Amino acid sequence: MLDPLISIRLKGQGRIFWPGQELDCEYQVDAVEQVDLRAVEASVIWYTEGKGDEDLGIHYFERRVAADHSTGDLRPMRHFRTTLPRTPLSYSGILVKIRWCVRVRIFLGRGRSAFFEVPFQLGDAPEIHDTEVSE
Amino acid sequence: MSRWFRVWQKKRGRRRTGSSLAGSVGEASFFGLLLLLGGIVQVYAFIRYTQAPSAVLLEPPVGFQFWLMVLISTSFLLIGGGGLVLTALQTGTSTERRAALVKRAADIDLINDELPSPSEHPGVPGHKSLNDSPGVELQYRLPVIQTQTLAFLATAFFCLVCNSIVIGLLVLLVREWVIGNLQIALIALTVFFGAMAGWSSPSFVRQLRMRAGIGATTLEISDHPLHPGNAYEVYLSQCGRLHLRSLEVLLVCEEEVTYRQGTDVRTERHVVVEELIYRGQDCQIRRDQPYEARCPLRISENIMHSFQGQHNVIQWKLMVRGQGTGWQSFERGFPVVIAPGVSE
Repeated sequence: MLDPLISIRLKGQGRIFWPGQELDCEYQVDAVEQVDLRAVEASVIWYTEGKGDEDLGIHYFERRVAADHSTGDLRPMRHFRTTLPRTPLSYSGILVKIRWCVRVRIFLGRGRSAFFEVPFQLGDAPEIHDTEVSE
Repeated sequence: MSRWFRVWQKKRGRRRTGSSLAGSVGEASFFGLLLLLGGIVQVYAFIRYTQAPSAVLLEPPVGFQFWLMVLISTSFLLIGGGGLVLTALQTGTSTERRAALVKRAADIDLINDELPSPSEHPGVPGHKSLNDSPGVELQYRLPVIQTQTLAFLATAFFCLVCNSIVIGLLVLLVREWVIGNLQIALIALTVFFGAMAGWSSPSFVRQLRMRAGIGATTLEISDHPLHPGNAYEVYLSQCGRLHLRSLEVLLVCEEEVTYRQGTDVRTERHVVVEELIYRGQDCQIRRDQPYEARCPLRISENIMHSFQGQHNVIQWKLMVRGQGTGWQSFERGFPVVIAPGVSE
């Protein structure tokens, strides 16, 4: 059995976005039977990476279930747009890293699920490699 | 999903080797069994009570034993029921969906519509508590981070306990010596606690002198919260009676993370930015004449804002560092919030 395919495309000028800018996104699910696809969740989230336990914040979230659709088909291309918040900016520190991404998660029959995410950068906070000491 | 059920599984980063569905079923079974056990014990306890020959409430033979069984079975019912409900809520619900529900609940402002929305600067800590104290020279007086008070109290307690034990042992030792029944074990114990007292007392005296000699440090700022690209003024006042080789004010950014290691919760900090904004040389501080200084503070454009997550923090602070001789060296931190943009 093939693994389902999830494709996400961010419209615009690449992977760097600014606070207050509009994020335009398209996603599509393939290689899965219509009846097997129970629900699809699309979200724009930030999460932390590094030594500490993970923190996660949600900016945009939509959930579609097959029962809500007239055709019952959740596979076709779906489009959404959202205005990005001012904070938290993407950050790459020593102990803490803040990442932004668009994540699409699908729920299949028999309790199975799969997700795919596309990272992007919010803002231009500097990357920290070591302690910066200045006088 | 693995073909065979495995008793032991390993967490690899953010992934687990086993099936999440099997994990949820196992968790639900455990809490379900606990709930069932609690129910059976409670029913059994009540049947025993109703069949007792003297059916007077709260009287023996259903006194202490009965209430103990009720207490234990109720705790089983609560833990089992609560765990089962939590597992049911979490099964089939993604992390993002749970976070979205929490966000929606947090966005409902039932108390006051005039309060600023928490989503205006998500992840940036509030600054209202830091703006509580008006300054004398400048707009706000910043609160100091109390990090050494607990260490001082612990040292004082340890020193007091050791010295008390030594005094008690010495009295006992003299009495035994007078009656001519000196014991080696008693001498060894006195020497041991004497060494502990001798080790802890100088540390306590040093901290006491430091707290008494180094007076209050006051830091005031012309505006708060701070915004990248803006300029501010800082006023420093250092009381006490000491001579410092240097007295510095630094802008410091510190990352702080908490993580679980087994059953422990650990915290780790790392300074990532340290920028000197003022240095005074050869500072003579008298009781009647505190050291005072004013200095400009410029926040650079390209800077990370303050961030407050549940387990991860990026904290900015102004640090006052005095370097003298011996005990006359100290560091005191004053938290500040750096928020992006100037639209408040």
